[in-house]
Amino acid sequence: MPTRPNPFRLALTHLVLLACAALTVMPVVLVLAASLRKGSTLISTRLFPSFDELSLAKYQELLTQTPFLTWLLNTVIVSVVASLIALVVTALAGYAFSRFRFLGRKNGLMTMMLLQMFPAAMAMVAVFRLLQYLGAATGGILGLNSLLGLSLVYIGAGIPFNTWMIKGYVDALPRELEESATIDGATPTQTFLQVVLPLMGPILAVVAIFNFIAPYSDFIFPSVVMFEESKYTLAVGMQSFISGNFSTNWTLFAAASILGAIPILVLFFALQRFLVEGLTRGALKG
Amino acid sequence: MRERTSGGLPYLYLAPALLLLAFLSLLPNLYSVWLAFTNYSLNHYSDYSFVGLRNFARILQGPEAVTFGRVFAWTVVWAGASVLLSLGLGLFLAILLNNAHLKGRTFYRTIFILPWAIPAFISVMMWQGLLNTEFGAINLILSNLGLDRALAAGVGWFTSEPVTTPIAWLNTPGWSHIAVLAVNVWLAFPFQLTTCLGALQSVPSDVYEAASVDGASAGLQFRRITLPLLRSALLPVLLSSFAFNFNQFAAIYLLTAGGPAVPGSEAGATDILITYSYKLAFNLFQYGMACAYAIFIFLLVATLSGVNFKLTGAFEDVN
Repeated sequence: MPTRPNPFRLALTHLVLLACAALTVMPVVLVLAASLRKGSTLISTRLFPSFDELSLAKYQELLTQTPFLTWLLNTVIVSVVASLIALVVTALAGYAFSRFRFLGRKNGLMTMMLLQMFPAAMAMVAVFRLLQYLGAATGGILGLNSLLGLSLVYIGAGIPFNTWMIKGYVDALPRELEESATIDGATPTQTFLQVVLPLMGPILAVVAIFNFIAPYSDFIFPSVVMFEESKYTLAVGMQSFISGNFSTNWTLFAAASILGAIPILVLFFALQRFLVEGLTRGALKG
Repeated sequence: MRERTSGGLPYLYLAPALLLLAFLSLLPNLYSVWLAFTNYSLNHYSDYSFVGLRNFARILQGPEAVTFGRVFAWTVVWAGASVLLSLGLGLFLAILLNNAHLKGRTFYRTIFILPWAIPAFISVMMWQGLLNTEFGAINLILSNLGLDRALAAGVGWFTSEPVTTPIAWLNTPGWSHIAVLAVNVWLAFPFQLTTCLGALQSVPSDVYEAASVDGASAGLQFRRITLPLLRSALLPVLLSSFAFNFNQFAAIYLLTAGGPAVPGSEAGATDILITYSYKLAFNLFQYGMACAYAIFIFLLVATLSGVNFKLTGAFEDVN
């Protein structure tokens, strides 16, 4: 690493970085520009709408004449349910793995490490069949075309990774408080609920957001288990915009892209530091 | 902390997680292994039965073996090229950004993280529109800049086939391979950039200062200090990214749907194992075959993970 800044080299660095930055934002800028057009098609000789062409008409059409809001709501329901259940279940499990010593602990942790390597998508046929059975058994509450059934799929897939993350975080918490609580006569469950749980706030926030983003962004499972348009998530619904005739729906799709990406963009940038750290640490671990 | 053996309490805490895991992860995985040994398909929907290794024999012999070989080879090339290109770009940008004299580093990092922060299905569908042959913005930009013919001629020189404009990014074998890879690099480089930057920043600066005092050039410092340290930090990332791209369903399926079609085969030119397995199951209703393909994916990912665990010593560290 040079100790003195070399102005020529710095200028060159900026030039290269700016070029790469331009290529990175290009698709998003082009789609944003398309979403602000009045017309419906891709056909245009100009990339950007002229100033008097600018309009929010496509956003209005999207919100009033398509099921976009229903799909968004479905997506949010699936993601919130998955996130909340995963949070409760993995907070308990992660704490138990970190603080208790019991028979089968080490094997349990290893099994979790193995399971986290295998994406749920590999078992998609079995998941489809499982939801078929569940639907028949529960009168449709959990089966195919059920938002609750879809969120179950994500909970199962995320448990190993989340449990490991929470265990790692609790491992690093100081134990003095718990020890003094125990000495004061608190039961293990009181200690967990009143002493440790409040300290787990940051990691629980990360787990909650991971488990919100993953179902929100998934395409494969809703495409397998959701058949009714009113039950589509955003991923499947937006694909129906483009799978027919993309060129006639392009500007409408563009508006949906912008609106659909905003919730995740906001979450991601607001919590960038935590998320990036958690994700890259998870990756570095394997 | 005192070793606390707490009777049944730990199992009570673990019960919900283990129950859900058994029911939602273990059971489906075992069930799909079972289905791989059956003739479960549209023709045998309610009366499917155990057929032994017949699905596997079909994959490894006869016409299906040609498809399997081609899809498998492309899956490896796809995953390998995706990782190397996105890691290469990420590392290059990380080295540029890891410069204390550079202004605007936060600005650049915010821009470069954007593809990571947009849900992948949205970005991939965006790219599908932008790469549209007749109406897409990419071809419009290229032809405005007069680059389309040059690009086509350049690639035509490699493929030794005439290349026409406008470029059919998603509908011709060569271009569609380039397009899916380019989009995947766009999707994946922010993650690699972030990991590389983290690894670079973990190298204490006095190591470089000492090397400078000893008269080592910047190039030598990079080769002898930066690269060896990066290698140990990045090898596990490399392997897990490879496994991830093996199953990178959305980037292929939502861009080309595995296409363009290849004559005499159900698998398209850009189909990877996971998209082909999906097609077999949900377009062709050959569930048993789809599960047999999934087992091949499983074996490959398991091998990679095994190597990864060995390298990082993850199993020895479990505590």
